[in-house]
Amino acid sequence: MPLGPDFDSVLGAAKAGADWAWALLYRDLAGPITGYLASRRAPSPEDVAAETFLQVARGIHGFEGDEAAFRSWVFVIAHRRLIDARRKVMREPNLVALPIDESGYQGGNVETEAMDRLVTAELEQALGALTDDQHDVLALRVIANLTLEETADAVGKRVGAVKALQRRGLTALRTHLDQGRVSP
Amino acid sequence: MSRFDDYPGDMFATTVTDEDIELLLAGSAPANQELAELAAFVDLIRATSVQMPSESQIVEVASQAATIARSTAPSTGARRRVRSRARVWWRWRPQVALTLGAVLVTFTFAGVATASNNAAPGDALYAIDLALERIGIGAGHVEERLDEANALLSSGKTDLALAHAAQAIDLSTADSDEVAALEEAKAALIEAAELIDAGPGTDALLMHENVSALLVFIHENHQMTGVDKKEFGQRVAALAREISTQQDTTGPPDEVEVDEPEDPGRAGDVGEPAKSEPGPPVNVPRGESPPANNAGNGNPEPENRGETGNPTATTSPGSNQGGGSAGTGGPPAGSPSETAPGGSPPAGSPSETAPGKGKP
Repeated sequence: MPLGPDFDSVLGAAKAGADWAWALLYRDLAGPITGYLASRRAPSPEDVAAETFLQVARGIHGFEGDEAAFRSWVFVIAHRRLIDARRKVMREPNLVALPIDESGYQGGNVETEAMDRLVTAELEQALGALTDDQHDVLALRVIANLTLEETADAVGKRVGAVKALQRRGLTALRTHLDQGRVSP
Repeated sequence: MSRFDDYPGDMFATTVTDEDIELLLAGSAPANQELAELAAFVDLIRATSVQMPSESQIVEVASQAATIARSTAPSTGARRRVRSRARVWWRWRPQVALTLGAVLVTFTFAGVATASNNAAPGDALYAIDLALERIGIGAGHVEERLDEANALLSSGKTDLALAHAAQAIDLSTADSDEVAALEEAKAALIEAAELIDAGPGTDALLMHENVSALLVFIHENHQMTGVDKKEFGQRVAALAREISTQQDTTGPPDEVEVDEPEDPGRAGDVGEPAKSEPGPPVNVPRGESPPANNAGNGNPEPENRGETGNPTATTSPGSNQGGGSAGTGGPPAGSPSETAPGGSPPAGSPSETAPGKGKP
């Protein structure tokens, strides 16, 4: 739920160090950020999301722009924190990342949870057909809702490369779904 | 190209436009039927991926972020910028310090060298002067020794001036034959220095003039070579001995012979024996002196030759007065305007007018 016209005043209050402004911003963005990090197999998505926001706070005085730019900037930071977290895991092979379906959904009743698990399993399987780059790009486009240009900025690639990655990613997903239909 | 190219679904690559993909990813229902199923899947990804953290975590993160934002407020940002400039200075500090040190050392050394170069014996910097000359800085061995001797003379230390003149005799370029003569000159100078030191009855002014003339003679002729050098040494020795003997008597020795400048145009001719026996050009006492045959006069006056003698070196800084009195009836050789400080050139180089610059 975007802040809309209130964004400028909230941003000003956040720069001044108001707790409530940061709570608003974090509540608005924490879901997509955590989801993005989780789908990209961040070792501890909520921690990385919190780290991301603390880094946002450190750089907030240098930020100028509207809400879309803010959102894009936050995801750029999140993506970099994700890469850092992945490298850290690679340096410490004993730490095993938790599976995505154990990282705490806010589920309702048992039926919904069971449904979620089923869907999650299917998603996992489908997304497993993607390469890392394709998955990064599609997650940023779909979950973070970034534009082509913002995504290119976040992953450090040219727009044309991002286009090719998302096209190939979608191709792989459809191929996976087709195979699933053939052999249920 | 990719591993998906072999799949049947690679039709997708040609039938789906970029616009379709944009619509799909934005969540709109694409017109392309092929994408409908994918659209549902994308929606599913979007719907299930968003993970809201707990409210307590939101509050905690917001509080931390607010604290960070406050601590990095623009006012502190300005202070940090200043500090970072200071850090730049800090980082270059070793280089800056080294450069300043090098400049300081260079200027100090140059300053000491310059100051000591003018130091006379007895000055605190004189030892440094000698040391620097030894390694080739401020060198001007003979010239400088003579300048120092003149300085000593001016301050009334006639004996020290003589002793110092001995150091001006340069043996380094002399062969064995010449060395003997030069050594003799040295010995004579030192002996003279010791003698006049003890003589209370000396006519100080006359002594001063004679020593000055001796210094000028050395100055004018010390660059002799070959036979001339030997001659030079002998004449310096003779002059020194004259000074030694003079300190007992107020009058000129009878046997003083006049140095005859036969060929005054050439400084190099000084060393050649004149027609008369090479004698020391010792100044006679005041009032009895014949006209000085001096620089600027060109050829010496012939009639001077037959008279009491032709003092070849009579003027010195302190001798203008004496020269003036000695010059009665003679050519205006002793006029102060022609006698530059330091004394006029001795016989043999009448063309020289300023001893300071004249070098044969």
